[in-house]
Amino acid sequence: MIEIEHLTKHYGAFAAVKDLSFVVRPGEVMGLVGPNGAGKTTTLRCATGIIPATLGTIRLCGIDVVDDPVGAKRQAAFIPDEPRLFEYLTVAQHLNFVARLYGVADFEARAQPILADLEMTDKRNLLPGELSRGMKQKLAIACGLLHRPKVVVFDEPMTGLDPAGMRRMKGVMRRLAGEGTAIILSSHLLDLVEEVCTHLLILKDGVKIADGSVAEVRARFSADAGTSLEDVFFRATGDTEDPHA
Amino acid sequence: MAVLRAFFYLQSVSLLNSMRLRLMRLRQPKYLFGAIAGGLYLYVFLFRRVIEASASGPRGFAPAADPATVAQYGALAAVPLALFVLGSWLFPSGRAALRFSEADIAFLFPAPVTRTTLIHYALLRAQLGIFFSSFLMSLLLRRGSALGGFPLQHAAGIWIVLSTLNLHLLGASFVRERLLDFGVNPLRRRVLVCAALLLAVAACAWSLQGKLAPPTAEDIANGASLRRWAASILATQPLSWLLAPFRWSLAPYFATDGAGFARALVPALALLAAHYVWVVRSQVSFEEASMDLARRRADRVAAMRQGKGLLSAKPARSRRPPFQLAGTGFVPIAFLWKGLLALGPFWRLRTWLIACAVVLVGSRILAANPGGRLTLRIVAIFSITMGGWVLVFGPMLMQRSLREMVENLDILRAGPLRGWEIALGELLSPVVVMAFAVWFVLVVEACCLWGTTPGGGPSLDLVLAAVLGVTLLVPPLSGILLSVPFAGILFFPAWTISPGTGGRGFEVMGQRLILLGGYLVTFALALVPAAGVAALAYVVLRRFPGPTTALVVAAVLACAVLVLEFAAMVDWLGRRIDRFDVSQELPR
Repeated sequence: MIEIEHLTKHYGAFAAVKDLSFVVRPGEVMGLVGPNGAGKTTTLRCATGIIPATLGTIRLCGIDVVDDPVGAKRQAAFIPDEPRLFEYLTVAQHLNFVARLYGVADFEARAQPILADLEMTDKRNLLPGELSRGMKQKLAIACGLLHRPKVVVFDEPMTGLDPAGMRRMKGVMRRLAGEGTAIILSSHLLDLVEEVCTHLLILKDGVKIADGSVAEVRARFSADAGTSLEDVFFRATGDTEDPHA
Repeated sequence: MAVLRAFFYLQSVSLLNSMRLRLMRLRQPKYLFGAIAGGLYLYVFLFRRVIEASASGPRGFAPAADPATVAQYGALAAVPLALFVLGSWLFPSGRAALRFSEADIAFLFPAPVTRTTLIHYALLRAQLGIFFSSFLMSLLLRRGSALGGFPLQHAAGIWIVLSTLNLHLLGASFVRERLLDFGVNPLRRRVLVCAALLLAVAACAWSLQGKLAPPTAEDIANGASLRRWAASILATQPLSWLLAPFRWSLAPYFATDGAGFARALVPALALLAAHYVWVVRSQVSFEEASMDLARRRADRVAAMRQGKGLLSAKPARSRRPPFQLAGTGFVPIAFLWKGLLALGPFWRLRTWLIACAVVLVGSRILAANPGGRLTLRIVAIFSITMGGWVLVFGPMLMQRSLREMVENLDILRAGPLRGWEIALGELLSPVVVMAFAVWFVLVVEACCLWGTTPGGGPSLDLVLAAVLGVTLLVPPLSGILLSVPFAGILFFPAWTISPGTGGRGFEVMGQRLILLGGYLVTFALALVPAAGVAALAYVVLRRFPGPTTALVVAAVLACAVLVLEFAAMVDWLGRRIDRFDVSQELPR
């Protein structure tokens, strides 16, 4: 479970996120959407303890990120938009390294099904330089899932993926949610958010515009259930959806 | 013509914008202080000599040096130039390529311009670099003051040589390309060039047969005699004919007065013009190779901006890990495992042991004769100098991996790691590498001095005590020394991590000088407590139980102090990593 209360993040005098509170329960997939500069990445980085919050409380599976950062991070995985890998470690060696960081004793047994699931079994001994963009992204996911996190944060996970890769990624998210993992998915792809997410959080200028289940948010900003999430987004953020307007 | 106007517009606007940006960034203290330090350095080591020489020496033409001597220098300089040009026909195997940037290619190649215009564009682009190089070389060579003549004529002389050389290399690449089109592959071309070279050498040797005596021992001992002897050989025919174009090109630089310069200018410029016509009239396909070259250059520049040198090429295949890494255990060991894996299979204990064995056997063979013992004493002096250099300046050269770590700190921060674990982990592999490098120097030193010191030297037990002491001190000392640049990166990231194109200019050079100064001061301060404790222990114990024991105890105590200092630094760096806000503190 992810619990965030009154999160505020300042960069000097500029407030990137203002008094943000939300909860993601086990099995929920929360779509975090908003225009560029809304504070999405800052929120994700604060939520995973990568950067300190200026104010507020963040708990991952009940563990406070400030009081026990190591314990909290042990429960979580952060999958960045751009896979940043060590150019001299093979796929298997990446998993070995991550296993030591998270203290996964049986990493070889755990890695096997993950690699098989991501169709990377035959890539075990390849270096990142020999992998395609999609394969690198899959390796980043494999590294993130090795320690069986209860909280997973995806930041623009579809960047650079081909249609097959996108389908696989959606499958991974659904499976994780089915297993009781709390997921935050940040993306500009509203179709993806509509397809995968159970909940929605719309941010603009660091402020929460809407929060709740997809149906609740849709009901708040549209008259009928047939309205697309794209229309809901533009109504919520007050931006124009017509490029010619 | 439109492209040439575009070129001048592009260069002038780019230069102005770059100057404006550099001036604007002086508002940031790191660039302002860097500019002051860099400016002072350039003034003290480069411009002051020029200004003082201008103020004290005669204006305009300097007194002419002995023309005959200068002419001999000119004749001798033609030889390396000729060899360099010969190399351009012999060695390259790539396709003909002009130097364009990726942006040049994106805009110019699809544009409605002729191939000749593109060549002109590339030549003008090259001229910017040649002008700058000529100016800088003229300053570094003290504007040719040793040769006499007017300072500007030396700069012009350098410009003529570099421009002719640039055109020749380009023309040669076009000819190579054409030969490829005719089916003459690089191997056949090399055979042809070697055959021509052998023919020329044979002709020269035949003409010299019986005419010149080999240099006497006196000639060899005396530089001037040897120079005269070599110049007399170069003056014989047909060698002098073969070297004539190179002498013409160099003659303006070696002219000792204005009239000589004017006379030398005519053949040199004629040669330059002939090269220009040769290049511009060549109609060979260079586009594809130029695009490839631009991409490679862009990759290289990007790698260097990320702090990766030319030697850090991407690995071609997977490497065997240095040891088996278990899934659980002391986390910093994982960083050591990763670091050693990155260094490659050469950096293993096995390699170190083999190198030590080779040194041991080699030194025993050399120690068996007097000449060999002299060699060992020279190697001993060289190795101890190298060891000191590695220990003091090695950490500055190992900053790259630490800088990369800080740049990827957000990924590490997502893991369940404490700051000190990350700090110690990242320091472990450079510490191990440095310690083994210095230990190897100690092995070399001990092997070189063993049985070669005249008059017996210090006793064996004292030598062993000293070696043991230094061996103990090296790892914690390396750790402390590496912690200093690491602290610099963590506490002053904006000074040590350059975003985008921030890595150029004398202000950046000044920043590096300031960091180096800070590093050396911290290094000295860190040594004070350990040195104090060691000195006290040695003084107290020197008489009883004796100097050998005193040395060992002093080293052990100094080592303990250094270990404590290192632990304190790791803890300090770890707390900094825990508080480090990657979103605010890394330059963007």
